[in-house]
Amino acid sequence: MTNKAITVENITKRFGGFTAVDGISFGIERGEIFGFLGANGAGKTTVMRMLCGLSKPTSGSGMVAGFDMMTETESIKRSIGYMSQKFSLYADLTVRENLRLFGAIYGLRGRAIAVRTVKMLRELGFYAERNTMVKDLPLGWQQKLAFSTAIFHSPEIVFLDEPTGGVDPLTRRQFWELIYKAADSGITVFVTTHYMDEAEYCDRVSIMVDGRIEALDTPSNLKRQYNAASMDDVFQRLAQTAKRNDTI
Amino acid sequence: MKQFISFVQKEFRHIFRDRRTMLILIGMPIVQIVLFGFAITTEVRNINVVLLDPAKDRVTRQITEKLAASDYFNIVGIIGNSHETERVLLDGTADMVVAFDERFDEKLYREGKAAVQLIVDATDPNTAITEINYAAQIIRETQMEMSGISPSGQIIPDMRMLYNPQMESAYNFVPGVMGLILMLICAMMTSISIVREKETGTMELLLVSPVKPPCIILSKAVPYLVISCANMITILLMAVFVLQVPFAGSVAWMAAISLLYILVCLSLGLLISTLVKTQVAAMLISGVLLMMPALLLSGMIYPVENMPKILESVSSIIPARWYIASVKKLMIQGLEISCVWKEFIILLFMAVFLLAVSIKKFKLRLQ
Repeated sequence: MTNKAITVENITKRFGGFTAVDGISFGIERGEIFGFLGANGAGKTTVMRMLCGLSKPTSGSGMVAGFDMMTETESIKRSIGYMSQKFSLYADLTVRENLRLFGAIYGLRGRAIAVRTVKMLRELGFYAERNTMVKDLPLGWQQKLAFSTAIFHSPEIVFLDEPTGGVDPLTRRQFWELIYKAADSGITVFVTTHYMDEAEYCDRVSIMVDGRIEALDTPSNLKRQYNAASMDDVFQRLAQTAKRNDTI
Repeated sequence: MKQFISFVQKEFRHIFRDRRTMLILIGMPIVQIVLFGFAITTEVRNINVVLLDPAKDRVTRQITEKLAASDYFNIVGIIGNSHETERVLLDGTADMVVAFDERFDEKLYREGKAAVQLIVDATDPNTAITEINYAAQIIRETQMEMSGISPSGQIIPDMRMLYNPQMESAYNFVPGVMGLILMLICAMMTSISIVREKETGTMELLLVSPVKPPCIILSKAVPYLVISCANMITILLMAVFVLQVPFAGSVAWMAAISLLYILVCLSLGLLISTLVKTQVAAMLISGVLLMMPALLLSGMIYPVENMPKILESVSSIIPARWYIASVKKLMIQGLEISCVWKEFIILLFMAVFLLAVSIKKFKLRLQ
């Protein structure tokens, strides 16, 4: 088995005559934090949906968590975690009920769920709030809880779709500490974001423009390559070359 | 299976924790039954009757006794001559004056007919007609009982009111309320609960998970199915014990056709949920496209037979119409299942069609 969590070869996705993703290739190491950047409409969401097994590529090939993207989407779904930009836990269920539900969805046994719940909530410092409804928690806590839920079943890879939208800087900082911790434990992190300071936290970053990956390297290499002071500069420079409309 | 149980449990929690939903689900059937059964009733009770009976013979006495014995009429007085008729009606002593012919008994025997005049205050024509009908019915019944006395030559107008001889309005409303409530809970609530997950973003999470879409959908339907059944039992119990509507037919077949109707409504809800993106839209669509026609065109309030041809054809695509018709037949008229096979087949066809379309739509959306 290779040490790659994700390998993608020449993946294309067409919707009718429109090519949303135009033959991209990349590989992500196990335990890596991979930042996936791009303006709205660049094709980020489409790539993410294909990697999560929600849609199949028109052509190309790829392996996610050791399973074929074209034929083994069900197995892929079982080995990944997902957290979307919208806050996505059940607000009218308690912290524990949410964890139990998602544990059951991923086929964990009742006993394992109970043990993990206690361990996880202790680590987060949420144990006292285990019977609180999620809607009564502060937003930052909700976000952390959503992330912890996404990795509750110990997935190989966790996909984070703009996870820190609308969160204050301090909480974002704490959130990234959780991401680092997850990566240290061997979980591969695939994250999209609009915050360029967050891009600097990633091991490697790719920038998508018009359905193609225009740049892929570590943040420091990219800055050197584009002779830019920050990731924000790098991004601006590349995004300006886009021909597609933002609204696509 | 374990996934499925967890999901059903979660759906029940959503329902029980949302006080507004709970209120709609539990309160609605009771409120509707009470409203339709008592408040919006079209029946008339306690009609004050004044008699003008110059004959005072056996037949008129018998009719008078019958009137007095019924729930609808109170005999409040007797007047001596027809000039007083207007007075008792105007001063409110009487709602109706029953005036018998002179030598009533004799006329009936000898001449083959005797007249009885029913005079009512017709400022409210609907009530007046109802009152006249009640009285005419009772007079006819008396005549029937005195069979042999009734001469063969007499013309009896065919005004029989089958199955609902007292024109109890609750008889008509109970099937209607059942059709409406089941539609509301199954279609509206199911669509809202699915669309809510789209709105909050949790649906995305479920689609990314290994859970199969049919499992998600089925787990949404189960709680509403359970609640619908509970509501149906509530409505039936209230109908029988509070409104005194007899349950003449087979309980098993009632349950069967109700389950079929529930299936139709659930698929409608599912279909709506695949068409809209917000809870408000789901509510509007179920409100305007489902509830209004179910209320107005299903035959619950206005008989389908009395509708203009075009509306009658529109009403035939409304599931509630067929359900209400079959409940009337099965429950109130106590007919055999063979009499509702047409309704049964139409509902079955609707269920299959709606389910097929909505599952296809749901799958398309996942692509």
